[in-house]
Parts: sequence; structure tokens; C-alpha cells
Amino acid sequence: MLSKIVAFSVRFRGVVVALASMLLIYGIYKLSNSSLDIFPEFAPKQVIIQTEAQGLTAEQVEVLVTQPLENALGGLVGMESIRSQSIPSLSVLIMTFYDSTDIYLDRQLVSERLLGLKEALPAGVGSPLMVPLESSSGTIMTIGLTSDSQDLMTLRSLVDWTLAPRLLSVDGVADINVFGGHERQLQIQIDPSKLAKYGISLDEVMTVAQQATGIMGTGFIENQNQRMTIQVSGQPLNAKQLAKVVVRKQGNTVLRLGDIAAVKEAPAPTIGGAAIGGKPAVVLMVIGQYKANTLAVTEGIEAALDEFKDGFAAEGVVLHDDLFRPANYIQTSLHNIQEHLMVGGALVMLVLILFLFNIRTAVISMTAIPLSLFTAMIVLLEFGININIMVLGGLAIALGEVVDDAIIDTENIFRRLRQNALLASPKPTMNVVYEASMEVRSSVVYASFIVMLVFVPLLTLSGVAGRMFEPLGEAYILAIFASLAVALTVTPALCHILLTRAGDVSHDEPPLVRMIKPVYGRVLSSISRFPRMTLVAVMGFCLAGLAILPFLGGSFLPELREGHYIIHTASVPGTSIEESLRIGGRIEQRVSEIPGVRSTSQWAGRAERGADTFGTHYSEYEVDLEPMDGPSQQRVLDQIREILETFPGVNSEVNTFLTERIDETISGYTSPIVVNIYGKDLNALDQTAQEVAKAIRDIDGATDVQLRAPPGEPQLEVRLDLDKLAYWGLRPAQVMRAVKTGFDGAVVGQVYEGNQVFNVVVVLPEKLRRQPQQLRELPIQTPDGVMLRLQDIATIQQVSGRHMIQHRGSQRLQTVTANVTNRDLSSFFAELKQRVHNEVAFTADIYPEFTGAAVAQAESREDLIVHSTLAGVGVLLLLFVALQSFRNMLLVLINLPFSLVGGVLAVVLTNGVLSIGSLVGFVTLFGITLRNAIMLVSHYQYMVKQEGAEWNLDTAIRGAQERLPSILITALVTALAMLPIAMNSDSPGREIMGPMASIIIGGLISSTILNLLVLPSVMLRYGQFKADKESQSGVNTI
Amino acid sequence: MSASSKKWFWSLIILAAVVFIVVGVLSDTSWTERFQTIISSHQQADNDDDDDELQHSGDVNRPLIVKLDDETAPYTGIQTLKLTKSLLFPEFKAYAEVVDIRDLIQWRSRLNQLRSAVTIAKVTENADRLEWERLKKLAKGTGSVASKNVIYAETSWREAKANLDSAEFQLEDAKTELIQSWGESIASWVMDKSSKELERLINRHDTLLMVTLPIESSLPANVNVIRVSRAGDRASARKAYFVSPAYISAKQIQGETYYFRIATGKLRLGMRLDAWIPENSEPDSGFHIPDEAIVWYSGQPWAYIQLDETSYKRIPLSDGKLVAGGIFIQDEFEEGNRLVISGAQMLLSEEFRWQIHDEDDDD
Repeated sequence: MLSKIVAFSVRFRGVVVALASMLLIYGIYKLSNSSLDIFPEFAPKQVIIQTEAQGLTAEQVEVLVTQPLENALGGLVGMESIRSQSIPSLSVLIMTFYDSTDIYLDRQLVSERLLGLKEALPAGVGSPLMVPLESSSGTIMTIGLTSDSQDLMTLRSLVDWTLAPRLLSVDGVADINVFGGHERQLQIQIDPSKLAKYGISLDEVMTVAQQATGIMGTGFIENQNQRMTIQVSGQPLNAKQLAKVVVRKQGNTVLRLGDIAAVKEAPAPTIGGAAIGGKPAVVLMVIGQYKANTLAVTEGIEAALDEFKDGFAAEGVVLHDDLFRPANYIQTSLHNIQEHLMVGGALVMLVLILFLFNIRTAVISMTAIPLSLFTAMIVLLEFGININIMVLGGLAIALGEVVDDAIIDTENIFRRLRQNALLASPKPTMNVVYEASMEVRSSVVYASFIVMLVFVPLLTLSGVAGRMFEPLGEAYILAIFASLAVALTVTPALCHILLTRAGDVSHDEPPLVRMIKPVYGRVLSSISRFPRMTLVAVMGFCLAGLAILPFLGGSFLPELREGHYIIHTASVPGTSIEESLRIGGRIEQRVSEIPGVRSTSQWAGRAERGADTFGTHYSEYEVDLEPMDGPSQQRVLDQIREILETFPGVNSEVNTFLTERIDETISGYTSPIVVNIYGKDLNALDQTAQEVAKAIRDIDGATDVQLRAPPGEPQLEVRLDLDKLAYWGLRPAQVMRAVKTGFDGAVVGQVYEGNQVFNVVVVLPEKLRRQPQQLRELPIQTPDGVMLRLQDIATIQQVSGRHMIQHRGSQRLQTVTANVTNRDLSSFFAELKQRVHNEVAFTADIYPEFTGAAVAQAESREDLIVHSTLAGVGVLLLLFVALQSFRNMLLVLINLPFSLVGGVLAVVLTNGVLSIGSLVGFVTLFGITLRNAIMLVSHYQYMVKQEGAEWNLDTAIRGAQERLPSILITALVTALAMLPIAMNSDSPGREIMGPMASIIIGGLISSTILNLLVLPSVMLRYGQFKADKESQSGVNTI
Repeated sequence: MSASSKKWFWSLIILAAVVFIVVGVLSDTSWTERFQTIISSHQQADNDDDDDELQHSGDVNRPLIVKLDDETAPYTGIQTLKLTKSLLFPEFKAYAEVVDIRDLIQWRSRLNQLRSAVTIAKVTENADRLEWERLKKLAKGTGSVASKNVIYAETSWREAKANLDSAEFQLEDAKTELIQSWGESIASWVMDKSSKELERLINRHDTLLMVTLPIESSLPANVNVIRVSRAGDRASARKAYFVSPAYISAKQIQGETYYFRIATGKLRLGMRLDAWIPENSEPDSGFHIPDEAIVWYSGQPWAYIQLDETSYKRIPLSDGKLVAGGIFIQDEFEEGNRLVISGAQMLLSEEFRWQIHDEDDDD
């Protein structure tokens, strides 16, 4: 089949070239319209449901909200797991679906189940809402507003009613998370002493307010001629009007709302706060839609923001539109990568010209690059995979092989044409091109398939690593496949067009090749005299290289240089927004003093529908840097960490945005040891967890033993005295409603101002809501009209409550985590299980689960071993088919340690840290190395079988010399294409590919040297090549 | 070793190397384990970096002292206040209502009528008695009066006497009723025709208030003066003077009730007022801890004082008294202590840092 394809391409070369040109043009068109991003969608398929339950404690949220939702949503098709968090005022359900499912269908299934669930929830609890489907990286931009002349309520209204709706209309925006500011309400701030004095209950005030602000349709009048809608106007629309509403009339005495309450516009109780540079602000996080194009959406947002700038400036509002702009990193990265490709391309061209000494052959080889890469990109784009750094990385590391495919072909055709030109009666050039192409074809095909197969295990990685590197593997495999197709079609066609005219081909070898060949021959001849010694020395060298491996560090991803850092701080649960912002202001002040920090901003608590569901004790900070290189960014990072480490009262973490998102996506505690304790009774769970923690602490090697959700949030417990309630004729819900109204506020209606709608709320004045003792004084009216204080019917005390209650698989969960030092995990695990079972008494409904990163990794390692073994067997089979000799197959494999040792040395010489990118680098290296070895061995095979040469030192040296240019070109082209990426890898866009490139370059150097110097002598000593008489005439002619 | 054995020997070595590289590297050899544990080591490294958590010792007897980093302490924004002793007149809040005194005026009128009736009855009885005694003397001395007329006169006197007794009984009953309704003090004002107190009330120089104490509260024994305000503002409250316990309760609040009078005529009937009742006659001496200095932990309030530039100590406030704007406490502090009024929660957070966990590590 291959021969037919090559023959067709040579014969219909014009058609092939035309098709290739069309492909190029279409590729350029597709690429110019494609979206560009940093990373692929690395998040698992999740549907998150948030239910606001303002005023409820974590326990109440769990029982009243989370549990009914979990019961209703359990057992959905395609759902892998369901877990939940119940925190004060909020229930969060996270449903993870299998990667094979369609996320839109998953959401459809969830929304069907959610229908009607609102009625099953207690009054006052909001509707369960699905968090908008957003991209893995989430934030497209962070912007903010501050003002010296406008208050935070005005700023928030401006955001809620003007800015956010406009930004939501930008294509690709999924949601806007608003932090800080004061949400405007029309508050009826009741005076408890006046209620007591006048004997008015909270319920009565609420009823009055409802009747004052209620709006309803009033029908229409229709007669024979007309229909006219009836509109009732004149309802109170502002505080002054609402204050005039009558509460009670006795004789001529009228008691109005204004007599018993302060009616005024005031801020709603907040769930979050924000500051920019330590100044109170409103901060907006623009969230991108699933698979949105970050760059395009950013541009859309910026265009929308431009519309507001003049108006904001006129009103004294400062728009901070650059608190965080992930697009900066994308643009810098893409700019850097473009630069690398240009420099790499120029270096590749230089090598080709130097080795081939012919512009035409260089052009033919170079043509393969855009053709193969565009083909791969077109396929990826057609399958809905965006172009991102990982895709570009896959294409970049395929560059060497892509060029190599073309070079092997071109170089061989060029050599054969040169040899043909020297013949007394040259064959027809078409035949020479065809035969030369076919000569190397089958080995190229096998080598390409082996290279592709080596990458397959990468596609089977699980979790975030799998989702991150899958596009890289796909791009790489597609590029190799496309390169193979180009080498089978376009390269022979172009060779025939450009190289077959008389005078096109020089009779001499290129000068560089002419120069190095004899030198190489002499060196190889010397080495070949001591094959065993050489092999032992090399093996020793390789083992020494491998011995370094255990001493290398490890990281999931290298430090990304995004020019931006995100700081997290957490205080003890119960810390107020005010204090979190105060602490944040001090931290911001210090961080902003670091040279190179351009802006800082902070948000505390959470936003409605926000992806992060933290308490008021939690803050995040955006630290944006001036443009600077990687090492400078690292210096800033070190200084930030230094500041945070000594800052009292907060635990902190600093990451770049993308690292942060990836960390958040990695599900599960990342400690090696995790003991989950499931049960029904929270107190019993806590107690058992404490016992388990104690048992773990006693185990040798256990460190950092932690109870993950300890009770610690300060709560004011109002314990109702049922006897007293019965005496006064009160019911518990009446009291609870009074407390909620007083301290949380009860929405009783809405008022309109233009297109803005504000809630009318009955609540205590803010001053009283800040004082714990006021809870005791809250007036409660009995059915007989007697006014009591809350303390008359309840005991009020401060207790320690839970900030969060977790569920997994709809079961309550308490978790103990631990690290292990100076001990192997398996023996620790065995002792852990034994000790926990011996020392902790589990009841019938409490049971432990022993898990952790170690267990998860063992499971994923098992998968990887199975896949790698299968791929390895496939590679061996292909090698055997390609070389048709078991012994030669084994000898070819000797090149793998050659390459590994170079890669390891490269890691040591760079940063000494292995990452997933390094793994990809090694896999790529193995592919290239095997390919080079195959090409050499198969050439020997060709010489012996097809040319009838005798297998001896001369043949070995001649074969190696003939393959020398091709091997050197491949190695140099790949290495030089990677060089700009490897150089200064600690800068935007190069962080992941940099280590890969270093390993590839290092491995290529060692493997090429050893491939050229050691493999021929090893093959000479241990290789097996037999002349095959029958196949000597096997090459067809056209 | 034969040539064939040699070949196989080398084949095995190479095969072993291949297996070691291709398969072994992805399984459980030391360096590949590095790849497999990349995620955990990465996370762990971060944890190690960030979590300078103290292992929770659970030691409840530790000295409650927080020590800050020397270099960072000046940047924390902690503000302190020098404590000085102050006096607190402990009092509690109650409700007061302007009492309608028309009932007292009616009582006075009724008593006056009854008193008049008694006087009339007395006069009649006296006249009838004198007439009876005259006729009786005439009948006994001269016999000029028929015994029938004497008997008539006696009957008439006895009737008048019965009327007098009746009028007196009515007067006494009315007084008793008055005392029952208003108490002895106010009743005495009504019964005393020259009562200046009642006159001041009637002339609107004074106003009578009924003060209702919160449920389960009692009026301290020696309290004669309380403070009353119309607008609920303690600062503008005026003195009111104890009159007597009241025998009726307020409709809305079922606490003990007392009458007080206040020297003003500006209050109108039915007005409801706030009252502050002193708990002791003598003021307490101690320290006022403002709300912003108070943190709640373990069921009780606490405050921090600064020991030196970088050290702070947590002080319990459980013995203090909740007062407007904070807690008044007599012990635990000393004059000149520097009380933390900004940053107390941060110090609490630092002290209990082991309780802080990375929120991102949710399951």
C-alpha cells in the first residue's frame, strides 16, 4: 500500500503539491480564527449546586438543605461521586461526572431533578442554583471600583445594576462574582425598646411593612371599545414615605412606622468584603464560559469597560481594570513561543543547509514542518480542542521527528540521485526518487508508529495530569502521523519536482559531511575493536546516571511565571469581614512595598454564586507584577512568602493563578494518609476522629496529624426553655422568626427606583446587631400581648460550633490526615489499620475508611503500569516486525539507557526537579532514540539484504557513515528547535516545555553520541544480519 | 562458557535492562516512584512551606500569651488603649408610663362627698340625740311629755345614729378601696385635703409614672431615685422619685410595678418612657472594656493586654458585667494596662493558629 501511495505521489506530484498548498491555506485560515488559551480544560466534569440559606448554622444547613438535595440528586446517570459542604448560610453540592459524559447533558439531568425541590426546603432558604458552567481557569479578568466621593452602597448599586449586566452581555462571560461594597436595602430598623413600650410585635411590624410595599397586578377595564389597565400608584417608594405608614390607630392617636423604627437606606448584611490597595472597594471577578477564548473575551470586556470610563471619571469613581488580566500571560507566552519557533526554525534551516548544502533539499525538508503541524492543528480544531500551550508543546516536541521524516526521505533521495548521476547510464529519475523513497519508507513507518505508541500511556494518565497532558499527546501523535503522511506524499513529489532536473544535483557530498565522515569512520573503527569493554563502560555510565534519579526533587508542575500571584490567608473561623479586611490591609501594604509589585487587591468571605465558598475568616489577594523575567518573579514570590510567614494570626499560601486553579481541581486531601470516618452523629464522629488522631500520633513516623474539620466556629446558642414558652403560650418557631428578623433581617417587599429593585427589610439597627448582649434584649411578644425579652424564655451562651460539615456519598464525614516521615508507607499503613482497629471502638454506625494520596497513587500507578506494559509490548512487537530479528530488537533497546542518562544529566544541570513535563520529555526522547536506532539498524539490514553486503567492520562503518548525516541532522534539528525553549525556561510560556526541552536536548546528545559510536560496534559484535537472496529484487519499479 | 550460552547471557542482560527501563521505570523503582508521587510531594512541599502550625498540645494551663515576630509586630496595626479606672453605677432598664391621675381626683371628690355625708349624719344624729334626751328629761321630771313621744324621739335618734355609722363605714370602705387601688402613699395624698403632692400632680407641676420592671427583676430596697427618659437616651434622663409599689400590672410587661413621680408637667397621659433603675446605691470601681476589645472564645469573653512590644496576654472577662458599649470589670486588670482595641481577633487567631486549616484541602 505504501508503495502505491508513494508511486501515486511521484506520478501525480502536481496534484499532491496543490492539495498540500490548499491544506496550508486552510490551516492558516483555521488558525487565525481559533481560540488561544494557556491550558486545556483540566477540570473534571462537575456540576456545583449552591443554595443560600441566610442565617442558618452549618448543622441546620446540613440537615435542612444539603440532605434533601443529596437525596434528590443521588443516583444520576454518569455521576461518579457526590460530595457536599454545609457551611453557615450556604450549602454546596459538588457532583462529579465521568469524563466520558457530556457536561451539558449532565447539567440537564441535574436541572430536571432540581425542579420542584425548592418547595421541599424550609421557608427563607433560596432556590438551589447551578453554578454557571465555567472554564477550568475560571477568571477572565479581575477589576474593581473605588471612590473618594461615592459611598460603598452607591458603588455596589453601580456594579449590580449597570456594570455587571453590561459585562454579562459580553460573549463568553459566564458570570460575574461581586465582592465587597454594600448591597442597598430599604431597612426598617426597629427599636426594641419602642416595640416593648408600645406593645408591638415584630410580626406586626412585618405585616405592616408587607402591606405598605406589596405590589400586585390590579386588572383592567374592558368595554366594547377599549381595554385599559388599572395601575395603582402612590405606594411608598423611599424611606421618608415608608416612615409615614400607619402601624396602629387608637382614637385620634396614630402610630407610624417612623415612630417605632428608623426607616432608611442601609447596607444589607454582607457575606464578603473587598479592598484595593487597602482601600474599601467593590471587586468583580469576570468568569469565563466553558471553553471560552480567554483572549477574545478579555478584549470584549475591555471594550465594554471603555464605554464606562468617562462616566465613572465624571462621578469620581476610579475603575481598576487591571487588577488581574490572565490574558497578559497568554499573550506573553504566545509571543515567547512564536519567538522560539522563529529562532528554532532559523536554526533548523541553518543545519539543513550546512548538512545538505543544497537550498532545495533544505526547502523540501522545511516544507514538511508547516504541513504536518497545520494538519495536526486542523484535526484538533475540528475535534473541538482549542490551541493552547500544551498543544503547542506537543507540536514543538514533534518538530524534530517531523523534520526528520522529511530529511530521511530527502537525504536518501538526494544521495541516490547523486549516485545515479554518477552512473554511466543513469536510471529514470522518477524511478530513482521512488526507489530511494521506498528504501527508507518501511523503517520510517515503523519508527513513526513506535514513537506514537510510546506516547499512548500519556493519554491514559488519570485526573488533572491526564486532562492537562492529553492534548499534548494528541497533538504530538497527530503531528507525527501527519508528518508520516507528508513524507509519503509531498516529500517525494517535491523531490521529484525540485531535484530531478539536470544540474540540480551536485555530484559531490556536502562539504560538512565530506569533512566529518572520515573522522567518524576512524573513531568508529577504533571503538569497534573493543566492543565488550565499550558496552561495559557505557552500561556503567548509564547505571551511574540512573543512580542520580532518586536524588532529584519532584513537582507536579514547575513554577509558572504568570506575572501575578494569588495569596490566600485564613484566620481562625469566626473572624469577621472587618478584621479580615483590616489584616488584609496590613498585608497589602507590606506586599505593595516590594519592588515590582504593580497592584494589590483583596476579597474576604465569598460572593453569591462564587466558586469559592469560604467563611469570613478567609481572604484572597491578587498581586499583579510589573513585566519582569522569571527569576525576578521568583524574588518577589520569596519576599511575599517571607512577609506572610511571620504575619500573626493567618495561615497563608501563595501561588500563581493557574497553579492555584490546578491545585483546586485536584480533588481529595493530598496528604499521604487520610482516614475518613463515616457516621451519623456529628459529636460521636468528632470524638472517634480525635481517638483516631491520637492513635495515629502514637505511630512511629507520623507527622502533622490533623483533624480536618474541627468544631471551632464561635456561635451564640439560644437554647429555648420549652416550659417557659408553654407558660407564655409561645411556639419555638415564633421565637426563631423574631431572632432571624432582628439579626438577619426579613425581606418584606421590594421598592423600585428606575430599573433598580431593592429589598425592603425589617431588621435591628446595625449598632444593635453588632452587640452579642442585644440578643438577650430582643423583644418577644406573647399571644396575650405581653412583651418579653429573649433572655426571659431562653438561655443564651457562646459555644463552639462547626464551620463546615462535609458529606461524601451523602454520608457525614470527619477526616484525619497525616504525613509519614522516615518510614515506608506500606508498613505504616498496616500498623495504622491495626492500631486504629485495636485502640478505637467503632460503633455499628461509625466506620473508618483508610485512604490518602498514597492509595490513590497506587491505584493510578497500577493503571499506568498496565498501559505502559501494553505499549511496551506493542513497541517490542513493532520493533521485531521492523527489524525481523529478536537479537537486533534487543540491541536496539540498548539506546534507551543511553538517552535516559543524558536526560537525567540535563535535569541535574537545570533545576534538579522532575515534573510531569519531564516525564513527557523522557517519553519523547525514548521515541526519538528508538527511531534513530531503528534507522541505523534497518540500514544495516538493507545493506546486507538488499545490497548483498557482507556483515563486517567495513559494512558497519560504511552503514554508520551513510546514516551519519541523517542521524546528526535529526539530532541537531530537534535539539536546536528545542534550544530556544530550553534556554531561559524560567520565563512565561516556557515553564512546562523548558524542562521537557532540556531533557530532550540532554538525552539527544548522549543518545546520539552513543548511537553513533557504541551501537555500530555493539551491532557488529552481537548483531545478526543475513543476506536474503530472494528479497534482493524486492524493490518495485514504477 | 560456550558461544551460544554467551549469546543468551548477553541477551538476558540486555533484556533485563530493557525491562528495567521500559516497564520497571513506570512501576515501583525508586525514581519512577518520584513521578507517581509528584502530586503529593508538590502539595506536601507547599504544606511544609505554609503551615508553620504548632502541634495542638491541648494544654489548657498555658499562660495565654501570644508572642509576635519582632520584625512583623510593628506592621500588624495593633492599637492599644491605656486603661484607667472608672466608676460604674450599675443599673438596669425598665419601662415607665405616664399615669392618668383623673382617677385620683375622682377619688378625692368621692371621699369629700362621703366625708360630707358623715358630717350630715353626725349633725342629724346629734340633733336627734339631744331631742331624745330633752323629751326623756321632760317626761321623767314633769311628766308633761307623753312616753309615746319619747319613744319616737329615741327611734329617730337611733335611726340618725345608724345613718352616721353607715356614712362612716362608707368613708372607711372608700379609703380602703383607694389604698388598694393606689397604695397608701398616693391614697394618703388623696385623703389629705392639703396634700401638696396631689396638688402638684393636679397642677401639672409633677407627673405620676408607673414603672414596670423586667420579668424576674425587683426593685432594690434602698432605691428612691431612678432616671427616666422620653427618647430612650440615658444621657438626657431625668430623676424620678419613688412613691410606692403599685398594685396593678402593665398590660404588656408582666414585671413588678412601682409608682414614681417626676417633677415635670411636660409629659402627657399615656406616654411611654424608658427608665433606668440603679442596682446599688454605691458605684462600682473598675475598668470599662469596650466592645472592640472583646473576643469570645470557649463560652466567655476575653480581652488582650500588651505586655511588651511583641507580647500580649489574654485576660478573661467572665466576671465582668455587660454594660452599654462593652463590659465593666472590677478585677483582672490594673491601671495603666494597655488594652488591645484593634487586632484582638488577630491575636486570638495567632494563639489558636493550629485550628486554621487550608480551606482548599476540602475533599
